[in-house]
Amino acid sequence: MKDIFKVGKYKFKSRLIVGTGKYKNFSETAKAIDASGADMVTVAVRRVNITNKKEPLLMDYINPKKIRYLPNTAGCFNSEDALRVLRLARDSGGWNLVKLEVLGDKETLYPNMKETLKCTEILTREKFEVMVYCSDDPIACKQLEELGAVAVMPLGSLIGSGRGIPNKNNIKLIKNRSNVPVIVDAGIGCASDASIAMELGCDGVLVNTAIAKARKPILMAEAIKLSVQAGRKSYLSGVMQKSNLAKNSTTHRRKIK
Amino acid sequence: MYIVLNGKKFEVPKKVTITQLLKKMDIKPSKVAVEVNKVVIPKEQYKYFKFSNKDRVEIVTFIGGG
Repeated sequence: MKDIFKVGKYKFKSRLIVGTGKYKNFSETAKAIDASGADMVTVAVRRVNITNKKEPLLMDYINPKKIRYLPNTAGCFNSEDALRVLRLARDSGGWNLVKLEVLGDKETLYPNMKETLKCTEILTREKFEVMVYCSDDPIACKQLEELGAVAVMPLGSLIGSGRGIPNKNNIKLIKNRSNVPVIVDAGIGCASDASIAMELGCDGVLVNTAIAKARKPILMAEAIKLSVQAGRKSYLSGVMQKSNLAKNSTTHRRKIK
Repeated sequence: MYIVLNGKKFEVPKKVTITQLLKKMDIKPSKVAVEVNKVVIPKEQYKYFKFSNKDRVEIVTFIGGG
């Protein structure tokens, strides 16, 4: 069965998007991405180190011709900064598909939805294809879709917290009402969290810290790859109805008496 | 004259272009984006764009990020 992950006009083999931050070095990042099977990774935009030109570059380790770079606006706390970063990112290599995140405060890294909505509207007008980090609020997600977001990315829980998806019902509500892909972004702490996101019907997950900060990141990358595939297949296969009482698995017919 | 490059004062010859600056700094244009006074300069303009005194210049690249 063909099950292609489509975001905007782009198609992907893997429903797992991997963040490239927090690894020991670029070599580990590259190995983890390889083990994860991801064909899209988030990247951030920062100043070139002009004092140490020998500092390695991400592009030397992860080939943007093979793996799609998804430039993000990590660390932006207002729409002006976010727009500036994404316009630079686009020029850097023609990246039109971007991930917008406008943060509300440093302690929670919760999205500032007022600024996020404003920024989504401007970026869409400028012909960007915008995937948007947002709160797990079904109304806000719908508004983003109406403003032209190509995917909504509600948080499972706080960025880097590894607390999974405490509010599964909201994620399900968002998915049931959405006409664009829903990708759980933030909060995935281990493989089973990723499976849960996929079983809720989400179209994909974005994982960074759970892989980068595992004791064995490359092994965890593979575990999360498999859990995303398992969760997706479980969702597509149609999960059974839950029951409050036991139902025997073996027939009572022809039982010895 | 000088420009403010990635937040630091940087002496450059008059009328130097972006292409010349990047070459001098050993930076491949394909791996960066350049902004001058908060306006992104498209790559095809690098060889024509000449800096002016006190221009605020940002040269950026991609790093790891979630």
